Amino acid sequence: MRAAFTLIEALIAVGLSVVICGAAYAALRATTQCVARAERLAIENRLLRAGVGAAMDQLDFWTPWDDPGDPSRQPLRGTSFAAPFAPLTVDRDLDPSRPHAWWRGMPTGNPYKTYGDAALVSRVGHPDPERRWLPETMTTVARTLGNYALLDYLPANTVYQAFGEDGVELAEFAVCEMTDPRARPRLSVPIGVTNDMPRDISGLTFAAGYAITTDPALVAAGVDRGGFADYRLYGPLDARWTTAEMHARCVERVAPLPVAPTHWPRLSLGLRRFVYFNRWVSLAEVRIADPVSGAQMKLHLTLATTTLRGARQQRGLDRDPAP
Amino acid sequence: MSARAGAVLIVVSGMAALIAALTLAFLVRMRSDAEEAAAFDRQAQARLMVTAALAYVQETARLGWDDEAFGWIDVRDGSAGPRDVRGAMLYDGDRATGRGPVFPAVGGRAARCATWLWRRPPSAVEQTVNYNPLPSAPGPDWRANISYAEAEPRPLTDPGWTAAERVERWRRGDPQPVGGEGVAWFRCYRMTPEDCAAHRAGDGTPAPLHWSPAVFALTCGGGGTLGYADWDEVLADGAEASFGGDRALFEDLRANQAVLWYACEWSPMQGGFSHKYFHADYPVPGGFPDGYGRTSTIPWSQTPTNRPWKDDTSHRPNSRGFGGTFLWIERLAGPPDRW
Repeated sequence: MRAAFTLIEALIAVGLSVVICGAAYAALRATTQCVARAERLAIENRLLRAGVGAAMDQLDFWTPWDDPGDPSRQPLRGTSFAAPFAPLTVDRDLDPSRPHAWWRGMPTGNPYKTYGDAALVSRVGHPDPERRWLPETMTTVARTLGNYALLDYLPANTVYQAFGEDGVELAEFAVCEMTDPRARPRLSVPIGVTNDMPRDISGLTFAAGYAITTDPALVAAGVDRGGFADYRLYGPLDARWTTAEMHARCVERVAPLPVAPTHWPRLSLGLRRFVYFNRWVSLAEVRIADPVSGAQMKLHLTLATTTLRGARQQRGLDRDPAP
Repeated sequence: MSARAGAVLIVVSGMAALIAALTLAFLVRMRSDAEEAAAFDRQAQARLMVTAALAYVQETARLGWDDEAFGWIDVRDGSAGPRDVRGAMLYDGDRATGRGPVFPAVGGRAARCATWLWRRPPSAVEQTVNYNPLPSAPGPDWRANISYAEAEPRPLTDPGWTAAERVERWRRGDPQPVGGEGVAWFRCYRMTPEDCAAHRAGDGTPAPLHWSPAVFALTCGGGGTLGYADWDEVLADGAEASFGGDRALFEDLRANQAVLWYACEWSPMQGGFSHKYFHADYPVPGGFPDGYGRTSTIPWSQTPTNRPWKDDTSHRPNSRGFGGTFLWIERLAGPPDRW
């Protein structure tokens, strides 16, 4: 019986041991990477679920636009110019069987009274309360809350034309000039020629949109009493008021997890509210960016959520007028 | 046992314990992930039910009452619908107020809609695509080419049914679930003036809603309770068998489900009209910007805004809601007093 290995045997044993150790190390490393990757995927999945859940809740409660619990995050409650979360006192009885809610206007427009004078039967300040209710409600909502709110509050088939006390069509609803809405509020967006034909939501949002945003520059420019357009056939389209700008700037960026480990993927939300091509859109973009790999993942959701009037009811901002 | 054997045993036991611990940790982690995913699944199901409940309100404004109805607010006189063409009420309720014991009456017990997939929906028809296909080699006689030799559509019946029961069973359908029983449900309650007056803002301050006969509280759930609010309701419906007669099971399902509360107000207005009905009362050089001027002979129905088969957004703006629309939708922070 030998007392020890030969040199050859020892060398082979050592060599094999090195190979085995190397393989074991590689396997351990691969396993560690797999575990790390699995962990990362699990975190991403959890963040994705958290992001989708947060997006659904934020769209429902409108927190990015107006945080009821934080007065410093209520930029749309101003009262000096139209603001979607300003207090409003208005009769909310829109029962279409009641004559006060009927539209009495002139489908052809009314500049020359060619087909008669619709202002005789309905206008702001008309002596008959039933005949002044709709134009006064439209002007009250538009001037207090803005155009998005006007479309939100009035029934789906509303025709947006109203006559002032002097019997002339109110320019804020009728004239399609691409003005600065802060200086001269406008509902219609001048896609085609300037004319005064009244429009419903379909006509108003044909290749045009209205959005709610907290973007300070747009708010300062009077976005709540203006609108955006895809194009303009006659005359220039102000670059600030294109729907491309609306989509780019009317988005609320939210970080649902402001505090998280630095190596975690970053979760962020982009929330949009606009009406465009006759559709009310509440759109959530859930984005996850991995700071390690640089990979990004985006998920877009459109949801049936709380409307603006519903959000205002959540905050108790609407009141009926005193009887 | 030698010292070597003992050492080997300790090493092996340690490694086995290590593997067991890792396995247990893995299983716990997987279970935790699965539970999180299931909770999210229930949230998503509840969210889907919001759309289902809103669609239910829209459709039942006009359909589903064994006669044509004219809306939750009858546009003819503002009364609480649904009412038939002659104005007769299509539900059990007070003619003046619309109040009654059960939905759709105002203040009546909520409609409970569990949305599992039925094995056979009521009055189902066969899914054959074409009962009377065109011949591959059509002849000169069009009457032979376009024939209706086979009746269509055909009721989906079972050959095992007797002739006497065939119509009734076909009409009734088979509510046996096809997988996923009880994953989602919604309830629809028609609110009273008192319910609207009791509405509160998120901070708890009174914020009365404007009442109309078309204000609803919608409860949307993801979970296995089939929409029963509590065990008493299960007993009242005699539905204990749905939960194996086990109240604890029901309470467990109730504790683990996701529920969202909403309120909404329906409007008979459809929207999606077109500005192209309207022409200015003065001439526009070259017609209107889309090329369809007031002197155009192209009828409105063919202008670009009314061509739904054009599958792009710019040609589909006339999305009318023939079941009406919603004046507002509000997510409620918690359950209303009655739902």
